[in-house]
Amino acid sequence: MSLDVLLRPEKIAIVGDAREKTTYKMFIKIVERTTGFPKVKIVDLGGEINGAEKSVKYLGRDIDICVVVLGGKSLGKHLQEIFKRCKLVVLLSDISEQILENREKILGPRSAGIINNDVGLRTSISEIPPAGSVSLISQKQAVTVRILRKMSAYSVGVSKVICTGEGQGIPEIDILKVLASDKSTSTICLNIYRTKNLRNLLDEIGHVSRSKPVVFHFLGKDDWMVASAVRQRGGIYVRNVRELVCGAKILSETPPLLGDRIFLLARTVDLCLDAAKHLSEFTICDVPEKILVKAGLERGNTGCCFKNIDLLVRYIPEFEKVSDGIFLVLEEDEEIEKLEGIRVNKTFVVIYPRRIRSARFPIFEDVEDAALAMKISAERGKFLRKSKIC
Amino acid sequence: MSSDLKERGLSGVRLGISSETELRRAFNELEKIVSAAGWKLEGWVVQEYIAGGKEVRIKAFRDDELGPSIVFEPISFWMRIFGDRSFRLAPLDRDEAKEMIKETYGYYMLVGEDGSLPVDFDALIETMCKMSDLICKLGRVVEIHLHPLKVLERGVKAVDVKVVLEVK
Repeated sequence: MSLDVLLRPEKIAIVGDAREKTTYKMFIKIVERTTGFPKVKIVDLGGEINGAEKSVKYLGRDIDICVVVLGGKSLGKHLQEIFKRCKLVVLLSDISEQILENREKILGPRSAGIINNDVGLRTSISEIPPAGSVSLISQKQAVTVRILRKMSAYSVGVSKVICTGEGQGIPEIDILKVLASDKSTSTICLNIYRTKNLRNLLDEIGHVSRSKPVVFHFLGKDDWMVASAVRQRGGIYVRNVRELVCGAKILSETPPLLGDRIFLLARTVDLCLDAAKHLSEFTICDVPEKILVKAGLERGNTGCCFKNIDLLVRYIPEFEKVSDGIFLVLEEDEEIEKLEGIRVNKTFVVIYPRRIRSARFPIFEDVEDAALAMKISAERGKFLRKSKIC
Repeated sequence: MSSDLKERGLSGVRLGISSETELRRAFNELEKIVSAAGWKLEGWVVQEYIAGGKEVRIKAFRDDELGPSIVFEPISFWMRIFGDRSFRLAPLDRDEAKEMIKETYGYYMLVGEDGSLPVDFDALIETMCKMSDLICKLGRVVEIHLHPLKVLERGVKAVDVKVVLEVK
């Protein structure tokens, strides 16, 4: 079966039972979310939803993706029929894996669903992050929901989310290959709990990493060995969901940090000092005296303090000349919209304590998150320089 | 046999033997210890005494999930306290082997930053690369363990080697 249906599904189906107490809410939620998708067939075995089909027999034979929101007993009865008619089946509920056939076309059981923001497909039980260029391959339903919630909170733009659940039907390596060829995906995140062949997956990460950053979070084996192996292959190993999300945000929204010189800017000396505490792995660099005066900056112990944000915006290209990346800390009452016109060619990170839905560069609410992201960006940059890709 | 003696607080090893007379004396001594314990002597191992150099441990093995892999551990204070070691998937190239060594605190000991003489870095890198090749090419070998490997001013010498073969 070709997994291209994940990138360009044309016809989808949702199968559920509005009378089933355990899955009712999930079913209705997903039905509501698919209203934006052009070709959707809804099957409500309970016959409660107006306009929905009452049997899977009415599905036709050309469904690309079928999302099944049914509990164990009722699901077993209809599965054979669904498999006959659909190219890919997403099972959200729990079901005994022994009775599952046609595993090669199943995502699930216990999948969190799939999202393809490019085509308006949002058949997931979790929060849906804004559209963007990060794609996620994830296994455990609960962890996937947690990641997506955090991605929404950090305004990480998502292209595709594919939750394989716990059935080990479609190998993650095959999905990774599909996403590697996907033009709208710039960064790939992997959240893996167990896999049939970890070595092959790592080798594939090695191939993909040459063109796109791969952020890898592993819930299974001894950390230090897998971490070293992932880094050896060029992937970015993260220890938790927070690092995964911060990494995805910075890698998808700004170029990687190709060195260790950072130009630190803040409104006050205190903000500079606080940021510098988290940036101990980097060299905080300086600008020539002439530019310092022209840009209205004041040199602190570490980093520089700015007085006028308009001047700062104008001199960003000069700061880029002397550093590998810019780390800008703003106060809550700052006029952040003035940054909209900035054109940056290097890593540019802004810390602003209020939530911003979208910007042309990564904005973090917290200095610690931003510094963490900067480290991840530097790791990617190091790989690119080592492999002579950049 | 040697480990059984160790359990009883006796040593089955004699070091720094420089002549045939000294060797015979050591044999007699050890024979007495063995017969007093009521054991049957299976044999002797006589090997070169390697003085100086820095000790490291290299383990090439087949991991169930990760496949052929290699671990490098400089034997030092840092290893005992912080588990100073590095890991890579095999096969390794020279750059990767070098990176592996540099990743450990023990690297500073090997290059002589602790005041001691620097060791033959190239020979160590070559040994690591060859071990990674062996674990990849020899399908029946599950583990090769050099513990310790002495890295000298010129060359390296393995003091003890363990090779584990797959049981079919």
